[in-house]
Order: sequence, then structure tokens, then C-alpha cells
Amino acid sequence: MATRTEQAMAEHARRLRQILPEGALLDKPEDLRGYSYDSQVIEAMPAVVCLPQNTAQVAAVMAYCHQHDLPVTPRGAASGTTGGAVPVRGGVVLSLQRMNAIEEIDTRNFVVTVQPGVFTADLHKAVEAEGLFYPPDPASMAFSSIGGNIAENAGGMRAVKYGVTGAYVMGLEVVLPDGTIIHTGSKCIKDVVGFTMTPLFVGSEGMLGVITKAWLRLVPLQRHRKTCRIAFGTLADTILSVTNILQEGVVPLTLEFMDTLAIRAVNDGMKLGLPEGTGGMLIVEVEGGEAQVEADMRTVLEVCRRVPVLEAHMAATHEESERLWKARRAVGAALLRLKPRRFNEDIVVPRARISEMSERIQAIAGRYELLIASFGHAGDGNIHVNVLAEDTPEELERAHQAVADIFQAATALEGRISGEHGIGLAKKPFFSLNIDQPTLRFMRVLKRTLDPKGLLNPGKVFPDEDRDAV
Amino acid sequence: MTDGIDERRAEFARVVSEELKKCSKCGSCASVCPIYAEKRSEAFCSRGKMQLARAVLQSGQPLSDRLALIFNDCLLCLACKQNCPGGVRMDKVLLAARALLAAEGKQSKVKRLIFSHLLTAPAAMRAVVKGGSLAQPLLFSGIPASSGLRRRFPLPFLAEDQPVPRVAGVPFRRRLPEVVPAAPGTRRGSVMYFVGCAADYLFPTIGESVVYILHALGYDVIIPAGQGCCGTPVEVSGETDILHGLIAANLAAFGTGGEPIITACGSGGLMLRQGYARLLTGEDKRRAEQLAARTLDLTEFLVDRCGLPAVEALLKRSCRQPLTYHESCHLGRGLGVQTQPRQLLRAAVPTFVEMEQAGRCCGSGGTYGATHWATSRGILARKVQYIRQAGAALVATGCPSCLLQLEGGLANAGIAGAALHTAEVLAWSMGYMPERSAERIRFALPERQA
Repeated sequence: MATRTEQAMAEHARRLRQILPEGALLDKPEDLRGYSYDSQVIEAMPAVVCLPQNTAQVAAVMAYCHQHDLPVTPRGAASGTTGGAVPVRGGVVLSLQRMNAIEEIDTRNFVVTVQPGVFTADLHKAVEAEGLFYPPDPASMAFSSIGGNIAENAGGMRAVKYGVTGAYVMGLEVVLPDGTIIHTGSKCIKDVVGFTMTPLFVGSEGMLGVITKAWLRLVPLQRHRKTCRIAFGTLADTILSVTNILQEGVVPLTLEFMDTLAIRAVNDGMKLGLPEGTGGMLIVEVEGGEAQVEADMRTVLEVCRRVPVLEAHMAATHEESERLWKARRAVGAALLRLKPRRFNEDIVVPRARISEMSERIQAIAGRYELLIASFGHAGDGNIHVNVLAEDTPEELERAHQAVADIFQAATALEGRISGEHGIGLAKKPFFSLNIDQPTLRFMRVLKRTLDPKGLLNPGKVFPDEDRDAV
Repeated sequence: MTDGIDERRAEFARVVSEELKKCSKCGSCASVCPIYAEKRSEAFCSRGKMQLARAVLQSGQPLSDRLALIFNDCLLCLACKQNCPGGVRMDKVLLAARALLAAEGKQSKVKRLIFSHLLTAPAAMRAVVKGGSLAQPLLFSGIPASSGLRRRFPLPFLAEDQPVPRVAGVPFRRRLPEVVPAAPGTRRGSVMYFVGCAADYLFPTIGESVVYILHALGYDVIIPAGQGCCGTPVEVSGETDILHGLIAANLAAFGTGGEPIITACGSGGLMLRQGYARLLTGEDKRRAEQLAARTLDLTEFLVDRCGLPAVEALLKRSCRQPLTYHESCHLGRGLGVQTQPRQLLRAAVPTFVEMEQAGRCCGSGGTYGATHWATSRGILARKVQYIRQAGAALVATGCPSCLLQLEGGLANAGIAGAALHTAEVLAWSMGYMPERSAERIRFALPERQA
């Protein structure tokens, strides 16, 4: 016997099915399961899944849900690591995966018009075929979608030179929680008509509106690149070289580092053949005109040699440099071979404080007797801190405490608890480390204005309401 | 090979638990899954199927019809496996799931009947082809006899534009003796040839081409009479109990001599080289491993053993039409044979062109194209698009199942007879021409342009 709630939901499903194309509403448990997770541990089942194919259908679904008080959780490729796409309040999951057209590559104005479901790497390929370049490159770019990238304001390795996703979003089409379709920004480089609203939705984690289209800024594609890996005896020397390179005026396309543990994790599997006793490694890539690339790489190597360098190895071919990047991207998965559980945090500090941060991380690892690997975007201060643990309650508890200490440490160094993964569900308890009470209240006001019923991606980002909350 | 339902459930649990440990639910599988690209519904990518497998494990309930449909909706193209940062073997999970489905009686009864009555008994299959078997009404019922060349596949859900196999008038193995000796004075050694069903019954000119090439290189070609189906279509349908007999027959047929065993079929080669040893235990496993060590794809044998110059010395004519290469999933990703076919084709065809996404599945997946035509058609259309973008008039591939699919796709796109097996392209370049006029049609394009 179906309960009244189930009966009501079945009726909602029937009505929603009418406003969507055939096969675009899922309500069988076997089909719903796939929409209960992202790449994080928390799971929750939706009641129905809608797979709209255009903005009008998104708007119709949103209007219906608004009218009938149904929670809606928007979902891109669900590659997120903080639970942002998990429907913790049930209701409707709105998947944007069937809106995956690259509508226009405007080669004269350097603007690409995309729907949210395009895989980011496919966007790269399409614009590069036209001699243009879309710089943001989150590590997940092969399997994350551009809509999700915008909603999380995703970063990546090239942020040191080009900045993060938000720097490339010129305008958005957004469906508001009540189904209203609005447009922010334009294809114009300069545009001061009304409020600058695009940034409001960039990084909003699906809480303020559903992004259904984006106009993204492109830059010319640089034809020459050179990649080099430099092995140092100590992590301190590695980090010091990062500062030295940047202060010399060279802005590499990417400036990534790996600590001993990260190196150990990938060295075996990837057969990198790094020298014994490597305590830290940089992967540096420069781009530009041919002469510029040569000059920049020379400078990088000279600057690095101010400290003892164990080995500097230039990738001779494109394949060799791809292998290096593959090793870098494989770190996360490779660490799982050392311990079964991994807490992947993405704290960020102002770039000059990276060495202090790395010292504090080492101290925390010692204090809790845990393996903690650090690697990532040294060039922009964004460190991937991976706390590894056995799957035992005692060690997991120590890991949780270590994570909390790492967040405290980052905050103490004027840093933030998340540089690119977002808050979602996973980091809610730590939100207030970075956001003071008046600021949080202001965010809540914004949220209530746009979503008075609190139906859009409910339960995310803000700390759970307590007695003191307004 | 486990036959009881409890054993299969235990095997399913073992495989799922093992693979789950490696899955971080990142979704990288979805970005390369050809089926997900068509459906864009999470249950149909590996991450979704893995989580469903996990749910099955936790609930302990029998598999629902919907789950049967989902677990059968995979091409086993291995794209997710190759792309997975954690090394998840989704192919293993799906094979275990299908074996469990078969034990629960949820797999296709029609397929099972065909497998158990036809593939395990080659004589019966030949009888069907000749047109006298009891099974014929099942296999070829309702076929309009309007075309002598086109015979329709048995299944009721057949669409108008679906590629259908044309069964050869005389199967390959009835055309040649069991041993084709090398010409006097040229002998370099002996090889055995594993033919496989498709080259035997559907594309005998593939078999003839393989023998032609090997013979031209100075090899005695032994085509053991006792060989049969490799077992791939049976295993992927979960009917693992039927596999015993098939594998035993092939192990016996190829014996324990040292001759290399040549295959010209990606899936067949993968089964012989990896499948048998995976499916067997004890002494049988040891024998399967020996068989695996002897098994080579034709192109591997030609390039790695004979050497490219020896092959080049035999090339007499070259096709002047742009030809591209479709890399079969099981040959390319499965066996890792990627460079050899291209080296050979480049040598034989000066107008060889690479296409984008050469290794992307064509949607055939053995019987997938027959049972899931709507999805298969979409995947095929993308492949045809890549072939066109490359400017190719011809496409070569190393797997007869892909060949059937590509032939259909190109024919629907108005390019008839433009798909050939790599062996056919090479043999043609060495001077081979089919004797039967109907079969010459497939070779007409390059001939006209030579």
C-alpha cells in the first residue's frame, strides 16, 4: 500500500512527465540510484529525475516544483567531491546532461556559447580546433561538465597564469527557482548596464539558479609549450623555488608540486624513474612564442638551481610531457594504494604563505601519526592535502581531527578551506571558519530573496541552522 | 566456471566487492562510454552500474527485470576500463552479473537456445546454413526471400536499417582442407588458424585472405577441424555453463604443439588469450595459458614475427582510394594490438588516412547491435561521421563483428561495400581475388580504382 506521500509523488511524476520529452523522467528505483551520489561518500535518493533538453523545459520543471514545494537538486556530471549534487532532501534531481551542445564558437569575438552539459575537455578540443583556448582545466576536466565548473567556480593547474573559471564567464542564462529565465552579462568585454550579476551565480553551487547557457571568453591558443620536471632534496627547497620562479617575473602556464608521499605513490605505477632521495618535485610548463618558451624555461632552471637540484628533466616529446601530466593527475587515485581511505582537501593560502602552510601540515601529520600527502597548484597557493587512513574508527577519528586542524591552519594563514572543490555537504561544518556571522546573514538574505521557499539545492553550503543562526 | 545459482551469487559478490574498492565514483567512465553518450542516463554508464551492483549486493534480493535490462546494456568495449584512474574492471562485474542473471533465468531464451543447440554443435550450424535444420524456422523465420544476398536475422525486433548477416553459400571451412601446405621451396614453418564463427559462416573471404597471406609467406596453414565458437557471445550473455564444452573442444583441437595460433578476430583473440585462462582452474587453466601464449592476431604475427619487409615484398598492387582504420575494441584495447594493423595498412595502401576516435566502439558489440539496435545505430552514426570526416572511401578493421556493423552503417549512408577486414586488404594487395562472383562485389571498389 503506497503511502500518501508516495501517491503524491507519483502524481508529481505524472505531471512532470507531461512537460518533458519522452524518456526524460525517471522514477524507477534502479534508475534513481544513479542520481543519489557524486564523487563523495554521502548519498541520498531522489524521488524523480528530470532530464530536460532545453531551457524552456528547465523553466517548466522549476515552475512546477516551485508551485508544489518540491526540492530540486541540479546536477551536472556529478564529479564533485563535496556532495554538492546529492539530493539530501529527496525530491527532484534536475540533470543537465542532455543539454550538451556547443552552440557557437565565435572566432571573431573569441566567445563560445555552450550549454551546461558539455564535458569541459570536449569544449577545450572544439575551441582549440579553431585556434582558440579556454584556459580553466580542473583535474576532472575530462569528466566534469562546464555547468558544474561554473557553479563550483572550478580552478585547475593553469590558474597560476590564467585564473579560474569565473574569469572566463562573460554571461549566463539562468533559470531562477520560480522558473523565471534571466540573462546576466553579454558578449561584450565592457558592460556596465545594471548590476554585474554574472559573478553572483559563479560558484553559487546550484543554490541560486540553474545555469542553462553560458557565454565564455576565449584567448588565442599559444602554439609552443615546454614541460620540465625538477626534483629537489627537500620539500622546503621545492616550495622556495616556486616563490623564486614567480618573483623572477616568469608566469608559467602551470607550476605544480608533489611531496615525497605523492611522488612515492605515482613513481612505481608510472615508472617515472625519479632519483633516490627526492623530497619534492615541481612540474613546470611554459607556453608562448618559440623564443619566449626557450627563454622562460632557461630562467626557470637557473632560478631553481639556487638551491640543490637532484635532477631537471625536460620532456623531449609531447607524449613525454603528457606522461608527466598523467602522473600528476593520477596522484589522487594512486594514494588509495597506500591506504584505503583518503580525505582530499583543497585548502588555499595566499601564495607567499605556501611554505608556512606546508610546515604546518607536516606538524599535523606528526601530531596525529598519519600519512598526509600534499601536492597540487603551488603556483596559486592551492594545495591538495590528502589525509590517508586505515578504515578503522580510531584512525578515521584521528583523520577527521587532522582535517579540522588543517582548515584551522589555513585560516590562520589568511587562507580558505576550499580553493576549488566548493563546500557542498562535506565542508559545511567548517564554513564559519572563513565566513563571519554578518556575511553569512547577508548570504542567507540573498538566498531567501531568490529562493524564498528554500527549494533549490537545499541543505548545502550554509552551516545547519542552530539557535544562534538568523 | 560456476554453474549453480549460489556459486554465481558468491562469484558476483566477490567480483563486485573487489572492484568497488577501486571506484571513487568520479564519473570518468561516463565521459568515454559510447552508450552513455547516446542515453545520457546514469544507470547506463559504468559508475551507475557499479552502484546498482553494490545495491544488489547489499539487498541480497534477486535481480529485477529493470536491472537485467541495464546490466545487458553494455558493449563490453572496455573504454571505461582503459580510462579508469582506479583501474576498475567493469567488464568483470558485468560478466558476473550476467552469469547470475542467466542462473536466475532472466537472460534471453532465444539466445540460449541458439547457443546451446547451434554454436556448441558446428554440424548443426552448418545444417542451418544449408537450409535443412529444425532450428531454421527459429533462426531465419519470416525472412522475405526477395533478396538472395540478404538473409534476415531471427529476432523479432529487427529494424529496417539494421545490419544483417548474409550467410555465406559455402562456409569457409568447407572450402579448404584441414591442412593447406606451403608451396614447395617456400616453406618457413607451420601455423594454426582459429577461424571463428563470423569468418566461417558470414565472411569466408576473411578466412581465405588469412590463408592466402600466410601461405604466400611460406607457412603450412593448419585449420583444425575440431575447433568451434570461441565462446565470447556465450559468455557475454551469461550462459557460462555452455562454455565448458566450447572451450574444451578448442583446447583439444589446437593441441599442445608449438605452432602459433593465428586469429583474425579481436573478440576471438581476446577470448583465447585472456578469457579461457580467466574462466578455468587447475590443469585446464595451465593448458589455457599455454594456448594463450601461442595465440597471436594475424597483424601481430605479420609484423612482430615475419617482419614488415617480408610482407611488403609480397605486395603487388595498391588501392588508390583513401582508406582508414577502425580499431576494434577487443583488438585495440583488449589485446593492445594498435600499431601493427596500421603499419601493414600504411604499407599496402599509400592513401591510408587516420580517422579521429579510431578506437571508439562502432556499436556492434557482437550481439549488442542485434538486441539494442536503437542505441547501436546512434553509436554507429558517430563512427560513420568520423570515417566521412577523414575523407575515407574505405574502412578496414580487424574484427568481423565490427565489419558487419560498419558495412551496414556505410550502406545506410550510401557508401556500399566499403568495409573490409585488414586481412582482406592485405590479401587483395598481394593479388587475392575471391572466386565467387557474389563475394567479388565486396572487393569491387578497390579493384576499380587500382
